[in-house]
Amino acid sequence: MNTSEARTGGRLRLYGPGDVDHLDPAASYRGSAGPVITLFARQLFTYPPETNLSNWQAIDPIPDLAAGIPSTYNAGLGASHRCYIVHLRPGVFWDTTPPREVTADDVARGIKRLCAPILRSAALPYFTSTIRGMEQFRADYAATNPRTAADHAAFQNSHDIAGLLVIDDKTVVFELTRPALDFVNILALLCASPAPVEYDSIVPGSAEFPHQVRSNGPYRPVHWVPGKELRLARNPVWRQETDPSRQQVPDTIEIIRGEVSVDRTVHTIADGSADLPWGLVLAERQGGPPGPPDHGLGYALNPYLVFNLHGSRAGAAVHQPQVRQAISYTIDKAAIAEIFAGLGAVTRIAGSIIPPGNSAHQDIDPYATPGGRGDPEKGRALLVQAGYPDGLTLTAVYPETDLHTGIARSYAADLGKTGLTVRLVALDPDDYGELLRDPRRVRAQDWDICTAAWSPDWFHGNGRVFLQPMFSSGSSGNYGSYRDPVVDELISQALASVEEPARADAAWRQAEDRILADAAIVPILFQTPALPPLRGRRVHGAAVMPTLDYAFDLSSLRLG
Amino acid sequence: MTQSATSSDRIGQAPGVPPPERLREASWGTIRKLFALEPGSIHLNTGTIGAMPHAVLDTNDRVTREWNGSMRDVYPPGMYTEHRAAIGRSFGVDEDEMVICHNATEGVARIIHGLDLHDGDEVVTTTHECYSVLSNFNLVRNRHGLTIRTITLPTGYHVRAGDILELFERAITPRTKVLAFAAITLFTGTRLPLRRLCELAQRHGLITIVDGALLPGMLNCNLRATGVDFLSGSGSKFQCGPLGTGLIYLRNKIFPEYNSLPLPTFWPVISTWYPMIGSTPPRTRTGVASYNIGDYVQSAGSASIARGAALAKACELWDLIGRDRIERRIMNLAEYARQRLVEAFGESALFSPGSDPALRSPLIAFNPFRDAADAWNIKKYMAFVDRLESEHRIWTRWTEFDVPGSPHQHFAARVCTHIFNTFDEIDHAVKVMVRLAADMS
Repeated sequence: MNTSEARTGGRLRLYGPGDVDHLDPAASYRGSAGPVITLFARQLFTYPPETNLSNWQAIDPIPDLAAGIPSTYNAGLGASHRCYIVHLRPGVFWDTTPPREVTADDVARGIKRLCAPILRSAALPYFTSTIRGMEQFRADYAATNPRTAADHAAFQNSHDIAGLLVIDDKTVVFELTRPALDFVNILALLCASPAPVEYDSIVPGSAEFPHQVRSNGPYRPVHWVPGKELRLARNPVWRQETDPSRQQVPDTIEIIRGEVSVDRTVHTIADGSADLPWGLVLAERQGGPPGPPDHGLGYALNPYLVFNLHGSRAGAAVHQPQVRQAISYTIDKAAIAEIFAGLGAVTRIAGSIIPPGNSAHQDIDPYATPGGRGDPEKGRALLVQAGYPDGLTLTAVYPETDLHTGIARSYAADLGKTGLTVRLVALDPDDYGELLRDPRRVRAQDWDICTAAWSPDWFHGNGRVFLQPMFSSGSSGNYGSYRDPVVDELISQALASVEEPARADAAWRQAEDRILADAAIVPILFQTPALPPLRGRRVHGAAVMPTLDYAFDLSSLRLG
Repeated sequence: MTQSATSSDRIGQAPGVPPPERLREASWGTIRKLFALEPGSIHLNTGTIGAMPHAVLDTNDRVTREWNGSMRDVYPPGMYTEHRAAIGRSFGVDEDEMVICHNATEGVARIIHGLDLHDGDEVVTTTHECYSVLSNFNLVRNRHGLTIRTITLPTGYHVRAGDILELFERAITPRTKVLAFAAITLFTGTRLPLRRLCELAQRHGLITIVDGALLPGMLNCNLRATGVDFLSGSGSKFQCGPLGTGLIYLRNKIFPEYNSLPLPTFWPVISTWYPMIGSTPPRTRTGVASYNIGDYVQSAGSASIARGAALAKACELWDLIGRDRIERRIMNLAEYARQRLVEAFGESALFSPGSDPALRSPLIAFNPFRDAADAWNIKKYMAFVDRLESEHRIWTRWTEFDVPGSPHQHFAARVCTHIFNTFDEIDHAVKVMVRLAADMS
C-alpha cells in the first residue's frame, strides 16, 4: 500500500519496554513516555513536525499554547531580554466537564508543580537558574516537606514565584534573572506543561496520575493497566485550528508494554502484530552500518559511565581521581559501539562530554586510546599509583535489558584486565531509573558505577543542555553527585555571558576541561539515531521529533 | 530643475493661512491650520509619527508626479545638495556634514557600522536606547568583538542631570571608544544633557553617537556647538516630514571651541561614490573639510527625490515659523501637560523628569493607575492606549523600559506635545485619561 492509500483513523499499536505509567508532565523529564505525553499535554511552545530534519525549522520553536513567540517586535520581549510576555492562544480547552479554557493560572501551576520536592526533575536547573525567584520558591517548597496532595496544593496556591506574573487569564509574564536566549526552548520542554486545577488533588508524579489526566491535546488516556497497557482516544474538545503542531489522525493509540528483546520487538513489528516499537529507538534495517546523518543536529552522549561521588562515600575507591582515570583509560569503547550497531545507531567514540553538533563542543579526548579500544596496562599502572596494586572490587548497577546487560558485561570485562573486579547488579529498568534520581540511594552506597545517557533538550544555542544538568551541584541529573564549586562558577559564568557567545563557549569549555581532568564521568559514545526509525508496513506520513529522542509524532501517523 | 521644494506649495494659499513671510508672527491657531490633522482627534504621539503640513504633502505629491516617467537624470537631484545645505543651515552645520536618509534607524545603523571599531573596544550606552541602536551595536559585537556596557538611566520626576552624567562617567573604562545615547529617550522622554555628555566624552577622547530621532523639529539646535561626532534624526517625527525620511549629521571639520578631538575614522558603508580604487583623502585637522564626507554617505543609488523635497519643505516651514519659537511652544505645552498630569496622578506617577528643567522634554511617560504595581502590567497599558484611541480619538502610546533596582520591565503611557496641539486639547486629554484610568484601576 502506498502513502496515498493511507487514511485517517484506525488503531495505532506500539509494543516494547517503554513506560506507560509515568505520565505526569512535571515528572516526565527524560522518561520514555514523552511521545504520549505530548498528545494530551501541550506546552507554551513546541516544535513543528518536520520530516526533513535538515530544515532548520524542525528545531525552531513555534507557538503552541502561546499566541506568538515573544520578541521585541511584538512587545513580548523587552530590550533587556529579561522579561517575556506570553499571551495565550484563545480557544484551547481542557477536556473537563464542561470544557474549560486553558488559562495563565494553569501555566503558573505547571511551573510550580515542577518544583515539587518529590520530583527532582533534572530539568529544574534550567528553570531555577533563569526565572527570577524560582530557586527560592523551590527551596521554600522543599522545606515544607509536603506529603499529601493537599500539602502540595496548599504550598503552591499560597506562594508565588517572584518572576512569574499572571497578568490576567490570558497573559503571563516571566521575569528572568538574566537574559536567556534559550528561554523559549526551556518553556517548550514537556515538564513545563500547564496544569489544570484538578491536578491540585494529586501528588505530583504519583501513581494515580494516569487516572486523573486532563487533556488539552488531540488525545486523552481512556484505558490504563499499570505497568502493562495504555490506550488513548481522540479528545473531542481539541480543535485542529488551535494547534499548529499536532494532528488527530489515528482513532486510537494503544501501547502494550513488554520487557522484550530488540529482536523480539523487531520481529513483532515485522510480522504486523505492532506498528511501532515503544521505548526502544530502533532504525529501519538497511542491510549495513548506517552512514552519517544527513542533518546537522547534535549527537547525544550515550552511554557514559557515572561514578558515585556522593560526599557520604568519601572513603570509596572511586573518590580517587586516579581510580577514575584508570577506568577512563581502560574501557574498550569500540566494543560498546559494536553493541549499539545492532540497533542501527550512528556512533562515534566519545572523548569529551558535549557531543559534536552541540554548542561549545570541542574535539578532545584526554584519555584517548588507539581505536578507542582501551589501554588496560595504563589503567593498571594508575591503579597501582592510586594504592590498589592488588586490584579492588566495585559494584556496578545496570537496567536488566539486553542492551544494558551487554554494555555492563563489556566494560566489566575490560576493567577485569586491570585487576579491577566489577560486581554486576541487574535492576528492574524502572527501579534503575528511580535509583538514578534518588539521592538517598546514592548516599546508601548501593553502587560505585553505572551507565547513563544524555541527549540534547534542544538543538540550537544549546550550550547549557549537557553541563548544567549533568554537573551542577545538587542537580538531579548529576547522577553521581559530582560537586566542584569551580565548575559551578564556570557554569554561572557561561549562563551570564549570553550576550557574548564566545565568552560563554569559553566558560563551557573550561568547565568541560575541568570535569574531564577530574574524570567525573567516562564519556563512551556519541550517538544519534539512524533515520528513519523502525516502523511497521502500514505506518505512513511519519514526522519525527528530535527533542523527544527522534520518536514519531504519533498524532500524524496514517495507517494503510 | 534639480531641486523641487518651492516655497509656493500651499503656504499662503489656504484660507486663513498667511504667506510665508508672515509665518514668523502667525498665531499658533493659524499655524495649526498648516497641518493635515484628522478632524476630531487629538494627536499626542508625535514621538512616533508627526502630522505633515499640507505643503509637505503637496510637495511630495507634486514632485513625485514631476519625476514620474521623466527622461531626466535622476541621480544628481538624489544627492539633495541644495536641500542638505538648507537643512544644514537650520542646524548650524554645512552641506558636507548633513545627509538625508530614510529614517533615524538607517541613519544610526550607517553611523555604527561606519565606525572603525575592533575586538576589545568598548561602547558605553544605555538600556533606554531605541532597539535600532542596541541591535546594531550587538551586530558589531558579534562581528568584531565589541564590548557593550549599558547603564540603566534613572527614572522619575526628581532625576537630576548630574545623576546621569555620573552614571556615564562611572561606566567609562580605558577601553571605551564610544559614548552612545539618545538626545531625548523615547521611553521616558528624558532629555539627556547633550552638550555636557559630549564634553565628558571629549575629556576621555571618545567618539559620540547621538540617537537624535526626536530632535529635528523639536529643538532649536546648533549641532556643531554640541560637539557631537555623529547624530541621526528622524524626518517624520517632530520635523513632520514624510515617513521614510531621516537626517544624519557627521562632524567633518574641527572647531576646537566645540570639539577639538581629531575626526574619527569613518567608513561610509552603503555608498555609490566611495572610490572603487584607492581611498578618500585624510580627514582634515582644521575647520576646512578635506572632502565632502556627506556626499559619500548620501550617494546610495537612486533616491526618492520627492521625499527629500518634502522633508526640505518641512524644514523650510520650520525655519519660517522660527525654530526657537517652535521649541518654546512645544515646551510650553509640555510644561502645561506635565503640570496637569502631576495634578491628576501625582509626581510619583511620572517616569519622566520634572524637577530638573534641563532634562524635560515634550515626551511625558507616566503611570495613570492607582497601583504602582500596574507599571509592569502590559495589558493595562495596551488597553489604556487602545481605549484612548478607539473611544476618545486621543492618540498616545505605551512604552517599556528598565528601572534601576527593579526586576520588572516597566510600562508607561506616553504623551507628546507639538505645535499643532493646544492647551484645550491637553486639558481634555488629561480629563479623559483620569476617568479612564479610574475606570481601569
